[in-house]
Amino acid sequence: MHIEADVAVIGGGLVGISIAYGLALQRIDSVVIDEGDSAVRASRGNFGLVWVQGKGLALPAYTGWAIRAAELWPDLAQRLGSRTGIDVSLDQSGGLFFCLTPDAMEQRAADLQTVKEQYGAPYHFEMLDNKELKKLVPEVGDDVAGASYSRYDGHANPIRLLQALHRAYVDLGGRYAPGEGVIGLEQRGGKFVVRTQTRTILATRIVLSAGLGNAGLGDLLGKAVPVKPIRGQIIVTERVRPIFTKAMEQVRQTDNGSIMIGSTWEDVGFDTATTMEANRQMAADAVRLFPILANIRAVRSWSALRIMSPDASPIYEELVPGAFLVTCHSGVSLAAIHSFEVAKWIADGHIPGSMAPFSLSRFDTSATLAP
Amino acid sequence: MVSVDVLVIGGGPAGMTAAAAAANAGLSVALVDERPDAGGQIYRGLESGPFRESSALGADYRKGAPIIERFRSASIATFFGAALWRIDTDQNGGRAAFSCSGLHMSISFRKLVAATGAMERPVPFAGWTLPGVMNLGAAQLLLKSSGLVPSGRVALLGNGPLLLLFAQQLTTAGVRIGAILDTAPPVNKVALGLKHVKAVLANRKKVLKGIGMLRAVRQSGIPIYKDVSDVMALGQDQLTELQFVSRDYPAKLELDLLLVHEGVIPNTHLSRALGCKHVWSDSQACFVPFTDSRGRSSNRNVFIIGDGASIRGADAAPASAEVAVSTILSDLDRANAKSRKVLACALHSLEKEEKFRPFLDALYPPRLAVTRIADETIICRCEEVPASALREAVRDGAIGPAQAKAFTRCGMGPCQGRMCALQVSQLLARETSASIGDVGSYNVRFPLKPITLADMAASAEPSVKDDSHAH
Repeated sequence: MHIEADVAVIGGGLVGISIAYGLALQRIDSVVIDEGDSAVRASRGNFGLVWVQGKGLALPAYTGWAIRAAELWPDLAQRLGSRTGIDVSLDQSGGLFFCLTPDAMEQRAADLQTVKEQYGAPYHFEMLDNKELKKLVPEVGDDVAGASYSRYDGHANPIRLLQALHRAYVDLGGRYAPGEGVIGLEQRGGKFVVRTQTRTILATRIVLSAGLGNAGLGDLLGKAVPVKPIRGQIIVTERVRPIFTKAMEQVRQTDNGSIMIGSTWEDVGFDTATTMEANRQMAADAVRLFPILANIRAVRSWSALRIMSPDASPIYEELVPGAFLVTCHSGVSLAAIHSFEVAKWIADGHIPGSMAPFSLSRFDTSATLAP
Repeated sequence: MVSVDVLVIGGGPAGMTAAAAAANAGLSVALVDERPDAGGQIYRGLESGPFRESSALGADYRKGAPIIERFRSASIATFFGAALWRIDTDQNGGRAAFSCSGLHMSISFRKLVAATGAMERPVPFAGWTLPGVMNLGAAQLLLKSSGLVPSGRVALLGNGPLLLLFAQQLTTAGVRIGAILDTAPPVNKVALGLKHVKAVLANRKKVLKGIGMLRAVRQSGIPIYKDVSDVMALGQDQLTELQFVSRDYPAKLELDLLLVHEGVIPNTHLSRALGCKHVWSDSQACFVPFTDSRGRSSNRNVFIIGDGASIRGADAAPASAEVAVSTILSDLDRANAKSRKVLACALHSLEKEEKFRPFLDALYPPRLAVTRIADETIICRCEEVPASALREAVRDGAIGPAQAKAFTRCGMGPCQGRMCALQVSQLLARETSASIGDVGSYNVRFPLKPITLADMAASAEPSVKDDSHAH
């Protein structure tokens, strides 16, 4: 099969479909090329936080980007709701990061202070001790040291977000070509030729938004893309009555009533198994955080692979003229800004100079500073 | 941590035989089952139920007695009433975590034998979630374990040997069955018998028994509706009426209880969770775990036996267990002349049973269970997901069960997709014009059964390493 498009978006997870939706909003002709059902899909495994606090510790420019991304989110949720009828359950009434020990509390405070100073503009966070924390979340355990709180944070339903973006994209005339991964990528006569098992896609521009697959796509273009998998395990419980209203980094109650408990940080390659030890540890931590959870039943646990760059921050780069790399492990947090801003760069055909801190060159120690 | 050579999951005829054979050959063996007694589904209640001394359920039920006796007299660490929540495997074997009698246990093993048996094929149709509609096999378990029989206006819907057997058992128990609604498409039984003539001749006893059951049902005077399709259960809060088509004519019955059965399929929840490879079986119209002729799965330390491997019936189950255990013995360098003789004999009887199965499969094909499901019919009972939601997911780009599950929550409830998995795969295959083998099935995740966070936190607590054997 032969497909022609202005833009070929490679990867139909949250990053790819957010950008494709943004392209469709601008009436840019595009096609989304996606793998099959067994794809390693971070978008199906993530926690659903729309998060700001802490972002930018390693890459100061990320702080402002994350704040703007959160500010754009209500518009995205509203647009998706009216176009698709899907409520993505956005709630941005603030978020908590728990610290079990006084040491963890101290470290957290220091990190957030660094982020704030690097940002150099008003930046909200508070450190709450156990007593203050109980005013916000009375269910918290007595031996939890405290938490950091920021009003920028929130959460949404990541799976309904994925579905709503897909539906909105197709509704706006977008084309979705799932079931086959990319096996060939080359430039010919000013066009990109993308090949899958049975399809050949001809496009003027391409977006590399294939998560961990971006490393292989970069290879096809002769460019190294430094992303690697970091495994995160999650436990989810049965549905229970609403207990928690705030977004919380370690324990989150979804709008369905189920409680998600996360997560591990493991460098184990592409192994997506769960482990007994992680199940045990996460369950124990959750009960320590909230003794009220002890008798709630876990129904499922799973692993997802974070798409991790060396500084845990997004990469935006025009690899070769017309080929845009967009990769991050915050597909939910950045969904709105990917739809509304990043898609504009693709339409314009270049990444603005202000985004230079997010380019690949930051990892290249041998390169001199860009002029 | 306790460590054994062989851990058997499931205490039906396959699991009991495997455990006894391995233990009698000198291996250390543990067996875990969620039920309080041995016997599995087929011999449920034979140890302590109301029919343990009775012949009222028929001669086949009594066949379990010597299997249970052999199992109980072997040296096996047994854990009945256990809640198994996860099993992890590695190159040398693996480890299972479960709780039993309020204690959290962990057993490591060299070989795992999964004997998780069969489950009834889910049969969704309009109104199937109404109280008063239930699985026939479930009703039979109530009879076997508690001596309960249905009352009121009862009909049996579906087809297959179990339906006939249960009709006979109910009649013997004095229950008046209002009607049998046979969903098998009309086939020429004689022509079918001729096509499978070798298998039929080799299994004359079974065929005669089947003919006997058919005759008994016919002579009992129960009205039989043939060639039944387009079934719809009606009622406000409870089944009151069933509408259907029989031989192209619409019909209806006033009912209090409808027992539905279109055969059984392997319960693959554990083998899926273990990551074993599964393949589609055209003849049985279900997914089965891949096993070689010795019962070995795609994981070399995991053997899958009995109806959990493929539906071959209660007589094949012990044979498949003997085959697997003989193979385990040779894996562990413990094979001898005796085990080789047992293997040859078990392979022979397994082959005989396997030859008969295609005849039965052709005689009793599922019908309602493979019909296109109406939009408003619920597929996932736990999360109340109708077929329309899955079709919508397909329109939103889902081409397989993982994405469809994510989009709809189908299969995310307490049963974790046990009930809806096959229906979801069938629907997706139909909607995407893909082969069901390519569509595949859900990824099954631990825990195998819901478990409280407190139990999960306590159950796998790292303990002092103890390599002492169980026996």
